[in-house]
Amino acid sequence: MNLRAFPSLLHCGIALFVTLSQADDTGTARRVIYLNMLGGMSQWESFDPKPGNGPAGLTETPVDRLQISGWLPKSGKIMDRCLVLRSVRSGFDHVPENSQYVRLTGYTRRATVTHPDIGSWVKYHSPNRGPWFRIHSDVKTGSGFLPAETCGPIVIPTPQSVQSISGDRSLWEKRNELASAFSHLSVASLHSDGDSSRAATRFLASEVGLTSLDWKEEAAGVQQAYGDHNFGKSCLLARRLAENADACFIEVGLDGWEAEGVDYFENTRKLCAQLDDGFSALIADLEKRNMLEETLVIISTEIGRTEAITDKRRKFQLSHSCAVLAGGGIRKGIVIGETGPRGRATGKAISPGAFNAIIAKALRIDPFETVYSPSRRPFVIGKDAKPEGIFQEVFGKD
Amino acid sequence: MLGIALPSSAYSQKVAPEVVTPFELSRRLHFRLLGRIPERAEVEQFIADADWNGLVDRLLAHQDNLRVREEFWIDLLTLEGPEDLKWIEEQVKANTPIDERLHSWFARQRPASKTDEEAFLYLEETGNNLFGVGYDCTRCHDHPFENVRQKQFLELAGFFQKNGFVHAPNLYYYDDATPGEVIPARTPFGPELRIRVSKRDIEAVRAGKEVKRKIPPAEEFAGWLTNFRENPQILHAITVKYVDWLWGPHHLSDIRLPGADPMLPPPPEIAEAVRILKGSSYNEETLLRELSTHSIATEKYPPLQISKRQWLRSIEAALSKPVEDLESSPGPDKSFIEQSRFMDQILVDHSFADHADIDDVFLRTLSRFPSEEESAKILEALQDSELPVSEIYRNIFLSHEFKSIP
Repeated sequence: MNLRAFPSLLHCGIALFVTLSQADDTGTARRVIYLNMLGGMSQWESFDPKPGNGPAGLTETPVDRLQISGWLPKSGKIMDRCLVLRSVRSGFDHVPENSQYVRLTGYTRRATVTHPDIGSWVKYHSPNRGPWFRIHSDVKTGSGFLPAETCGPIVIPTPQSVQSISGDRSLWEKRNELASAFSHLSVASLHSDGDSSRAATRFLASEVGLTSLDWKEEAAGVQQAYGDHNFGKSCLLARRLAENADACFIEVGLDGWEAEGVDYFENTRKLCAQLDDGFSALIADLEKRNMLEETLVIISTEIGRTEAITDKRRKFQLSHSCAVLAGGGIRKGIVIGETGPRGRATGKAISPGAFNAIIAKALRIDPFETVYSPSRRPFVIGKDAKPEGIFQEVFGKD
Repeated sequence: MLGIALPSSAYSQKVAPEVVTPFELSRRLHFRLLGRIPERAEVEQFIADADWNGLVDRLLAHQDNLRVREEFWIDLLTLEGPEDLKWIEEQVKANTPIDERLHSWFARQRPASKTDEEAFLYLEETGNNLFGVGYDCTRCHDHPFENVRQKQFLELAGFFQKNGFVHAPNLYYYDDATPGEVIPARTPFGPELRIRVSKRDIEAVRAGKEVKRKIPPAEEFAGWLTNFRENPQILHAITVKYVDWLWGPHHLSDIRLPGADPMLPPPPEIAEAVRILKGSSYNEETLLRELSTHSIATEKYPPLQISKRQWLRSIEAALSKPVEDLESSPGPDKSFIEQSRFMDQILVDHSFADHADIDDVFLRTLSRFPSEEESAKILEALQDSELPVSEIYRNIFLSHEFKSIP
């Protein structure tokens, strides 16, 4: 037997096993790359445009009767690999941080308990997998009542920041050795929002850590495809962490959609260009490496925008936003949910709990398994998730 | 005042009521009154003197205490410009009574807002500090729980506007005014104070002129605000801020606006602090001294997360050198990678002893001696890893114990 063919045969075998064992309402994902649009991405200028509303215009896609914003031309070409959710419930508060909290945890804030976000839930249910990462994102949710040491993210402020500290692996190995003598000073708080410093030190001391973080070793053409901006480089870093570090969840932030004090539409156009570069390059890259079926890529935002343009900007809409899913065994080239001329869902809406439940299902994690907080209160990933066939719609056979 | 002297040999003895060690008490008081951990010499002095009252006196006379008091007032009144900062520096240095300080700010120092928007913003930022909870919410709508309406917010904002009135904004939903309507300044509780606005005043403003008044609205408002006898709400709210500063938000229990149902009596520590203030003719230093030597100081609390400012000043105190570029440094809640880069920057230039004196490092950083087990474990790990002494500091500066107030 030709040994060179062995990895690809193994890959085919795994893929066959996964396909056969996959029920109709679960996915094939091993990991999630969650592109988090912070500050309220406008659905009108992204994946739910309406003709004549706003300056972005429309882009045709290979999917019948699906048009997206004219500011996302590259993404338009790959919409046949994606599923668009146009009626995700959002905007529980005029303060974006509060809406982010609800979107990522599935729960509203309480003074008595801090809820884990979806990345920490995934890590909790995948104890033998690599860490989860938060890149280029200021989101404050974290492991909540789950132990920060094992379920907290490793936070990477910018792709450049890891370049300057991850070079000397032997130093980090020594630091990892010394850190154990101080672990008793760093008992992680039960309500910690922070990242796990022990996990980060261990990761930086490992061979895979060093390999994954060195995104500059990628070919110039690949780097160029992701775009010359932090978001694009963060997407590239996310792919490397998915490929080399066995990461189970990677969140990549693109902040600034609230556009306070700047020209709203010009700002949105620029952010759309970054999203367009990063998302389209990521999907193409994952596809080229046969990783798309085992990677669920998500574009999501915490709050929507109004159909009306007041003072040359769209205000927050406390109702609905849109999201895009690709890979991980979801159905391709379809749109779920409809919105009327004012951007409100005309049919059923997907709650934040149900959205998180879809992510869990893609990873074959039971979203309704009860986990108890230290104060013995029950919590699940899919809070108030009333499926009503949504899992079938997202994962079912075409 | 509860002055408790410590026996000089009592390193491990507890301060009554048997929950706080002298080391913890020293660390707490330094954090509260100087905004940083004690330096090694300061811990040693406290242990040697065993004089709690003496420590509080020394801290109150320290230059850093004046700085922390200034910062308290900068946050309380939202002070910004260099003139405001100079004003508060002088006020704190002279230890002016609290009522006089408030009166001076509102009647003379603070420039009146030029627009409605400026007045709204100022009340939104300072309303909660001055009146208790509720005022930031009421800019946009009636408060859902407290006894304060959006219209009362607008009326109160009128005192910050140079003409003594504002206009109802477009986002006004109630039937007691319409958007654009003139709303004259009026106080929401306590002795009633209202500014009369005539048609001539409104026309003058429309014509771009200023309304001339015998007593400026800001000065009338300052008189109302500092009439603590008839208007105890303000004193109550500011006292809560002081107790919160010194002993953490565990003491920020319900402060209710007048007329709330039910009206709860203030918690005992707040009532006691109010009594101290009244008895001292609103003397800030007396209040700080009494609260710092009060039994409240020895209660056991869950550790508080320190602020960025406190974290950086504590690092300076531990290394006995200024840390450059404080403003662009990350805070204690930032990611490990950001903090790690910062540690690499500040520790690279510092010279450390060749051999680790773990007792010295712990006293400098954690204001306590290490246990025998800790010393042995750290020395062994340091030897095995062959890392320099600076790495011990690095681990401690990033630890939860260093970044929390006991």
